[in-house]
Amino acid sequence: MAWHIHGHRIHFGWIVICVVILTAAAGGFGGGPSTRLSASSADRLLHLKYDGLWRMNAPTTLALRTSKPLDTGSLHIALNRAYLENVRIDWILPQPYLVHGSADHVSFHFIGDPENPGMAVDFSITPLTTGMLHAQIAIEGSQPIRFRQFIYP
Amino acid sequence: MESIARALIVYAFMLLVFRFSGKRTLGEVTTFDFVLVLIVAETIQEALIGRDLSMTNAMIVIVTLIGIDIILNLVKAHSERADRLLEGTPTVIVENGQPLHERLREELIDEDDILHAARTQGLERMDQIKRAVLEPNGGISIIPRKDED
Repeated sequence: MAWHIHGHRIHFGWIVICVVILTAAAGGFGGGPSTRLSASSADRLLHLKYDGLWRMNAPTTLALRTSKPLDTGSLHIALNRAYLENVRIDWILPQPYLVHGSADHVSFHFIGDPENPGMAVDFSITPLTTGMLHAQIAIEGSQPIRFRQFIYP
Repeated sequence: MESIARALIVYAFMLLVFRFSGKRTLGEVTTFDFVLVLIVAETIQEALIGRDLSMTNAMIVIVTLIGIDIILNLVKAHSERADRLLEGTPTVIVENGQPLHERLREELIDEDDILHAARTQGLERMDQIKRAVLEPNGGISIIPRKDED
C-alpha cells in the first residue's frame, strides 16, 4: 500500500517504521519520562523510583531513597517474596552485608552512617515473566511502598 | 532510546568500516572473508542489544536498522553526491586488455581476481577483455572485446 505525495511514493510500512522509532525514542516502550514513576511511603520517609512499564529480560533499576535517620547505623530493606520470585536481582548498590528470607519477604541489611541521615540503595533487577508484578518495599520503622510494574515481552 | 542509539551508532560504524575497507570486501568473498563476516556479525551483536535481551528490544533495533536503510536509500536517490559518498564509484581496472596496475594495488585486487570474473563469462585471457570495472558492490564487471575491436 502506498500513496503519492508531491511526486514521492510513501509506503504504509515507512509510516509504521517511523511510528515505532518515534515511540521508542519517546520512551513509549518503557524507560521514558512517562513510564518512570515515583512513589513514596505515607510517612514520606521512603521514596522509590521505578519503571511502571517495562519488558521481560531487560534490566531496570529500583532506586530507593530514605530520609530516615539510621539510629543503629544500619538499614533493613524488605522486599516481598512474590515479587522477587518473578525477577532476577543483578546487583545491589551498596552491597548488603546480610540477606535473609522469611515466608513472605526477603530482608537486605545495609551498613549506613548514623551521623548522616538517609541512604540511597539501588536494586538492578531483570523481570523474568510477563504480566503485572505486585511489589512491596519497606524499611524498618517506616510504612511500606506498594507499587506495580507491567511487564511485556 | 538506548536501543535506537545503539542501532544508529553500530550501523554508521559498519557503514564507515566497509566503505573504507575497499570494494572487494563487499564483493564475492573467499572463505577467509566469509569467516571474517561471521566474526564481525557475532561481535556487533552485543553492541546492538546490550544487556536487554527482550523481544521488543530486538524488534526496535531491527526496525531502526531498516529505517536507517530506507532513509539512506531515499537520500541516495535524490542526491548524486550522497550516492557517491555512501556507495563509491565504479573503477576501471582493465582497459583494452591491459590491467591498470596502480588501481589494482589501490583496490587490493590482482589479475587472478579479474580472470576469475572473466571466466564466468567464458573468457580465458586478459587480452579478450575490452574493459573491466570494479563496481561499488565489490563485483567485477567484464566487457568482452568484440572481434572487430
